[in-house]
Amino acid sequence: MGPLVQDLKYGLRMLAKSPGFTAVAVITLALGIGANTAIFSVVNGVLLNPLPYPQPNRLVALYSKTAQFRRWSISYPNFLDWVRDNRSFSALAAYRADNFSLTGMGEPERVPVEMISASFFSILGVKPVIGRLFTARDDQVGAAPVALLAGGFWKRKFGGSPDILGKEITLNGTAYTIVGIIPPSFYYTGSGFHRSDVYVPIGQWNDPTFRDRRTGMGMDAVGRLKPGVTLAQAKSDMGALAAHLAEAYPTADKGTGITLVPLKQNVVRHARPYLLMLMSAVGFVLLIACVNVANLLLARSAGRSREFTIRSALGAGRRRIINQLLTESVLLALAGGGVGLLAATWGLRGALRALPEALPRVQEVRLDIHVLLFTLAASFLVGILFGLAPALKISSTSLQETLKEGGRGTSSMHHRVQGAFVVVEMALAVILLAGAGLMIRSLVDLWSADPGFDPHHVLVFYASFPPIKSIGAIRESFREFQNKLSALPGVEAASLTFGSLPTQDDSELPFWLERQPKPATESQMKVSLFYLVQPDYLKVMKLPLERGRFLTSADTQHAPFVAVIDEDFAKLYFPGQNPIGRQISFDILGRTAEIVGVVGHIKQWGLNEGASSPVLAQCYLSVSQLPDQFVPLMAGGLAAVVRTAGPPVAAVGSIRHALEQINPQAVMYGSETMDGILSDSLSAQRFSMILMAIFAGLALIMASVGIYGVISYIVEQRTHEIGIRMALGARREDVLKLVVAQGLKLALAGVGIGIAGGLALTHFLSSMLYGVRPTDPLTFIAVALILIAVGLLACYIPARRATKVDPMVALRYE
Amino acid sequence: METNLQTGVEQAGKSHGSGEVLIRLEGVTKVFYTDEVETHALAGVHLDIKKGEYVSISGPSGCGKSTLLSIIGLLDSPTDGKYWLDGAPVESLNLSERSRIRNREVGFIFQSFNLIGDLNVYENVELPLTYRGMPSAERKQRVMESLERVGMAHRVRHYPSQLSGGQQQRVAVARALAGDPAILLADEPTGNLDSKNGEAVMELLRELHREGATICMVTHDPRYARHADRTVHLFDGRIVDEQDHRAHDEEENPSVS
Ligand SMILES: Nc1ncnc2c1ncn2[C@@H]1O[C@H](COP(=O)(O)OP(=O)(O)OP(=O)(O)O)[C@@H](O)[C@H]1O
Ligand SMILES: [Mg+2]
Repeated sequence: MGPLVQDLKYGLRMLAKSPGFTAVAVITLALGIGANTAIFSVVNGVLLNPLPYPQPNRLVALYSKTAQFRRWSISYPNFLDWVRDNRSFSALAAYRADNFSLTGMGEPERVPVEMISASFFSILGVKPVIGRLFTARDDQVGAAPVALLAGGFWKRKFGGSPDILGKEITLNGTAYTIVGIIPPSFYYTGSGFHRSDVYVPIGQWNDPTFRDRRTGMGMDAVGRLKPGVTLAQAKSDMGALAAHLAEAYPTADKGTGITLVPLKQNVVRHARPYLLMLMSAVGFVLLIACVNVANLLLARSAGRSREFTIRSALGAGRRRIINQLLTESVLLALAGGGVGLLAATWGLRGALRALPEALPRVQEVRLDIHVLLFTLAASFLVGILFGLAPALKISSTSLQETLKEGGRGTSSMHHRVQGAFVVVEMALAVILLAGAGLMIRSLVDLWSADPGFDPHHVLVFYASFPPIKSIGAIRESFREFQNKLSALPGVEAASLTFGSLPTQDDSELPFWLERQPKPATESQMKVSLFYLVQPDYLKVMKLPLERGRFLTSADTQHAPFVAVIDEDFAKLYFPGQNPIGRQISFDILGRTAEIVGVVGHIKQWGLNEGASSPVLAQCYLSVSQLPDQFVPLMAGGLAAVVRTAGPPVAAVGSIRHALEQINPQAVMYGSETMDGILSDSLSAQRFSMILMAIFAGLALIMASVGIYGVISYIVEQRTHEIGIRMALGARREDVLKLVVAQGLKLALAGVGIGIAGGLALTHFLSSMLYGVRPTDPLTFIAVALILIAVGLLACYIPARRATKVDPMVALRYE
Repeated sequence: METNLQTGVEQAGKSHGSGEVLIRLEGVTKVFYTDEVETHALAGVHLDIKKGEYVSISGPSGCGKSTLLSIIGLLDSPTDGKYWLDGAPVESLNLSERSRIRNREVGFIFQSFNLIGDLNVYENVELPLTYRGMPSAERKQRVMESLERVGMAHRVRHYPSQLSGGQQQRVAVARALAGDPAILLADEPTGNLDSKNGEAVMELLRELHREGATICMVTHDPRYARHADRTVHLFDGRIVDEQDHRAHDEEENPSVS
């Protein structure tokens, strides 16, 4: 231990002796290690950490699987059969997100509700703060209405009072008895799950559509594997079960399977490629930082060669000297790691606050022991990595060489190693910039992508009409809605909409074409997205009408059933034909519609919708023609789109007021601008683009500091030579050219290698790119030009200094 | 851009007997300021050097010899006084004109050779020519001629570190010659050489002088000083004595003119 302590002491003294060098090195390393710590803590929280439930590896997400969709909603009757017949799960729970009107507590409001099976919380190992969870007895039709409250809601609404148990809460006009409180820290992520204030038993819901084996209403499931059962065993068990159901209920279940996904994989699948990309990006940034510091050390070691000559002369072995140097570099790296850790904590908090929607499981992102260990390990590794080059270099320079005067020897060797480092840095920076450039271009393309409708000045909100009224009264409210709202000053057009909502919700209907026999099973039918709207939808969304007419107010429940399709529907099912006048039959609605018009296609699946998106065909049906049995379902919660003259948000107040006039118990909630929805839909891309741009910027700065440092160093080393050249008649331009050419050579080599590397690596980004190929020549050319320009600029400053060399002074020093 | 070297209006007198005056210094002073200390390196130097003349400068260490040489070679400017080169005043020249004159009219030979370590012999000699934008065929011819002149043509691919001191200095002389300068300036060219190599370099300079080169050389060694036509003695930045060797030489060696 003796020599180590001595090395440490001496190392600290050396770092304290040159504070400028130490500061630059520590900052560089702090940026590199900090960026890595930040991204690693995200990766750790999102991808690596187990889910916050006991035995998380035994949790499995379940979906229906159809010919088109691997993850399709489960129908409740099927789910009940799964529960009864499976042999793999100790429990299965279904869940479905909804919004209920909360009344009887001040202003009526909409609250997010999750309908859950009784076993939902026990599967996840969640215990109530007070009270109890649901029992199997609660979870059936006709049971007394009971509810669990989320901890946050309980504190907000009831001040966290323990007397709450047994009290009632009125949701959608029904009084629910509160039986328990869920811990405020609870969260769950899944496609059918949203952050809820209230939980109610799903089994009490008696809606006929919900109870129809042919329809899934956005319901997903989670299960806990029995001890000893593997995922593969569960898959084959459930496969057999699905086959059995298909036999028993061919109309509903033929061709329907079951998808099982480990719960964690299910949660993070979208974030995964982005995080892996960012992790590689920060890895590159750290490499650049290492190379930079190695170069600094090399430059400094040139000045310290005398010290080491003396040490060797005094009998220090090669090992001993390497140890000393490595101790110093590891000390530097640890200091950099410490500062980096602080910077990461601070930066990450800001980033996650700015873009909370971009990632799943952000709650899990924090500095835990894994992150700390990662940072420590990274610092050690980095210290050894960047310390090794100068250490080996110094310890291998022989005594004689150091003493030998002049000539071509150590100095130009030094230059070569440092030059190589600069080339590496430039190459890494090119790769990062290319990656960032491609992400930026994708985002710009996405931003300017035509969604198929005009999203500007469109307000989207949700509304519900109390379902207690008669069907006729509800229909009347719907009619009034469009008319009253359109009459508002500042509102140009308004429409209720149910079913699919562009980029937000997708709802599909199975159908078959006229003159074809009805397929035996649902899975053999074709599927179209459906939009249940009012006539003014066309005006609100500014859809281009390509053929025929759109829905009108004459399309009432007494008039013939009509449908308007989009151009993709026409292309897919009526290629080269006129679809007007043709007929399509909808299975679940039990009706056949005549096609009366064709409109343009909307990018339902988000701005990056492509040919691989699940369903492209779209059809529009009139709200007024919806069969009676679906009307209450619709009244329980539907969306509305409103085109305004001015900023959409300004109209919210008057719209709310108009809604109250139509029906005092109507509730309006969740209003957003369509522009906002579209830009939110890009948040993952934006998050990673911003980070990529930051990292690429860091890389660019570090690489230019690197090239600047090396060229400055070389200029310093070559002062004498420059003096000679000037004595021989070199003009300032000649000297400038000499130095810049040297930098340019390095920059060009780096750019060349970087472009080759970038072309090889960017195809990993393919899945995250839109409208631009991974080898996009424009991006690569622009990146190359930027780097060369920055490289030139970085060389120009030392080159200018070189031209100021006074040949007299330069020649005097020998 | 031709400078006013040939066409300058302020023509200096063409005195000093037969030869044309190439260098004329009048009251040249040089003061260095360092840390509030003024060093008067040169304190009013008057000196004429004629074309084809071989002048040596001697004096104790620190008397200003190198300073004088660098002013003559346009590496430095005088603090005060006048300097005509080939009849044209040099005070008015800008930086790039000074570079151009250094490149074309002046050949430097240093005590420590000052070859560039990363360039080989050929490239070192070629270097001043490249600054003229001379075509490479002509450069090659000139480089080879001057390397032959100093007997180093067989070492073109060698690097300075692979040569002996005497060989390095011969390469440095070749480099000074290659540009065909009006004047060769040598600052203690033998200072880093043993006597045998020193003799060889001095012999080379004498030969060049015989062929008509103008040479101005700083040396401590009185033996070498006598190779010159004339020795100028410097003391404390002033010329204190001049000694003409020619009469003496002609007696000993009547064949030389
Ligand atoms: N750049 C400078 N800054 C300050 N003082 C200088 C500078 N150059 C020369 N001197 C001073 O000017 C004086 C003359 O220097 P110079 O180099 O001309 O002497 P020298 O005659 O060549 O001496 P030596 O025979 O030792 O080479 C010295 O005192 C020196 O210290
Ligand atoms: Mg001197």
